Amino acid sequence: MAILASVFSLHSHYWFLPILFGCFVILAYNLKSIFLLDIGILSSILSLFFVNHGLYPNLLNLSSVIGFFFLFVGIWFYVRNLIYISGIEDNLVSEIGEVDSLVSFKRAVSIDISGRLFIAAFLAIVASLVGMYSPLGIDVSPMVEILLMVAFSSGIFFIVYFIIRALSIESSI
Amino acid sequence: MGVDGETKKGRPFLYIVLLAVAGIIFGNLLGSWIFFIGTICSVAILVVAVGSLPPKNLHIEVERGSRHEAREVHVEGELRLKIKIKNKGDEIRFLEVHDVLPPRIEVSEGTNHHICTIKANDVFEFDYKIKCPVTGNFEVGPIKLRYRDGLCLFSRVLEPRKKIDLQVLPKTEDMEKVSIAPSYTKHWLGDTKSKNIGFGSEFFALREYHPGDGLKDINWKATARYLDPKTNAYEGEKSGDVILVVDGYQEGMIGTMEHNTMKASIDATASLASVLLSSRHRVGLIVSGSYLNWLYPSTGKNHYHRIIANLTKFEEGGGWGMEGVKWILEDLFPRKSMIIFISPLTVSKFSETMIDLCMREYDVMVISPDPLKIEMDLTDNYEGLAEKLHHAERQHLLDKLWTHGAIVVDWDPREPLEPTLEEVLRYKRR
Repeated sequence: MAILASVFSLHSHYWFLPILFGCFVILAYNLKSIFLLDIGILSSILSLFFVNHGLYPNLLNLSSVIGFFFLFVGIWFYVRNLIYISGIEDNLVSEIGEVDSLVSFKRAVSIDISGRLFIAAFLAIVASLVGMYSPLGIDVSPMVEILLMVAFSSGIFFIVYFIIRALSIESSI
Repeated sequence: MGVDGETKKGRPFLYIVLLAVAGIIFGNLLGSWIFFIGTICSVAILVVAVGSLPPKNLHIEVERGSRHEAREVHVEGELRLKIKIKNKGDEIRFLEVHDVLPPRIEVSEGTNHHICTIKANDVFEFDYKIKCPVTGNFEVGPIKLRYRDGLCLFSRVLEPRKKIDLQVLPKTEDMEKVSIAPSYTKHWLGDTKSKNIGFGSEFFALREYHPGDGLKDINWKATARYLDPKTNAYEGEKSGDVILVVDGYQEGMIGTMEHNTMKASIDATASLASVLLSSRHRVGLIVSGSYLNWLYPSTGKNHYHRIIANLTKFEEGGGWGMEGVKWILEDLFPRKSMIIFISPLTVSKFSETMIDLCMREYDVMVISPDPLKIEMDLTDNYEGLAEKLHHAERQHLLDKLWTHGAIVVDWDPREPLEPTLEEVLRYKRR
């Protein structure tokens, strides 16, 4: 996955960064360290964005970037669950070597992750397309551009704030 | 049963929020659309994640096997634990169940940790086996329940419940061939020949017929020879008092937590208590460990359970001097009891007390698990000279005890006690 991201980023001087941080993920999986995995994936995603920050905004690039993002996130969640399960399986004493509940959990969790991430990817593509083809995409003066950027950032901040607030209310029910 | 606990956000939730914020900051700094796309994607994940929040109607009931299930297990024996979880609320996608075990208890089959999906009004059951290498009273549980979503963004810890008390009893050995007979018997019936006329099965002497003697007791041959009615007199079978004294001095303990002289002593004491009580002797117990624990001699199954319970809760220590043991033996316990010391003979004051009691005309037996044998089992790197020295020192002590009239059983704890004990008792009878 990291190699694929690097191939996609060959136009940049820093094309090797996704591969470098991808190594962290492989190391984390072998060491069964969830913290290292989190750091590796976050660094990979941010490095992917950084390496491609000069990319021209068109539909192909947009879908590629979103695709890579969700593939990274999907691998992250799946490997996280695998590491967690392996911790339980290490304590398992069985001749068969596996427990039905854990096998079905692995299957169910992969379906759950892919299902939710597909919906999230769809939402992200729609939101990005709306952003691209909205007045934001029209050439404006640098001053207006900055103002629009600030307004857009504030909007995103508000959305994040409201989501967190909504979740907090949910948790206290 | 109600369910407590708050929904907690996992670390990935924080990372996703961080990604969203970082996207805005870097997007503004570098003036790049791609970071904003990252923010949009992160927000999309958060929006979708709302659907994986724990169900509002979480109602779970937990049961632990049958209520009458035995909560006692012998050392290295296995106990099967069953857990049943009933979901009386909405469907739970991923429920983590963890039955917490104390450090020394091991899972011998299956697992005590599961993640399951339970539909509404459905039941999830699992069982696993545990075993424990040491004696003692343990608390198994509580059963921890946690809802978690597939994306690891949210979790809700439910109220932990259902602890059980587990008693790990010492391992007892079947010692049918062993017959330990105290030199002094008391007046109540038992299996030990008392060298006096009384109730028994072994012929002892002939005596004059007394009115009331049973016809089956009349010796017809002797009656014909002496032309006078003669009756068989039998050797009375009686029982005595036996006191088991366990050396629980920590400074003299050799071996690991799982395999040591103390464990061997406790197992031997449990086996001896069983064989002595089945021979209808009254058995007393003194354990000199972290506290001086004693049981007045008595008989019966209930008393056996009391002894086992005392041995189970036994903790090694050594704050108590031997004066306490001597005081109990001399002032509280019946006189002329047989005293069986179970000790690795690594603490000199314990050996000195034994010699002292031998000199006071007590009927003393010493069963000593050899600490060197345990050490040899645990390590291959031991000095040959040190082994010889230890062996010579131990042999000298054992000889000294023999000389003072004690019956000494030098026992290799890797082997069963019965053959060694039987051999020594046979030698003593000669």
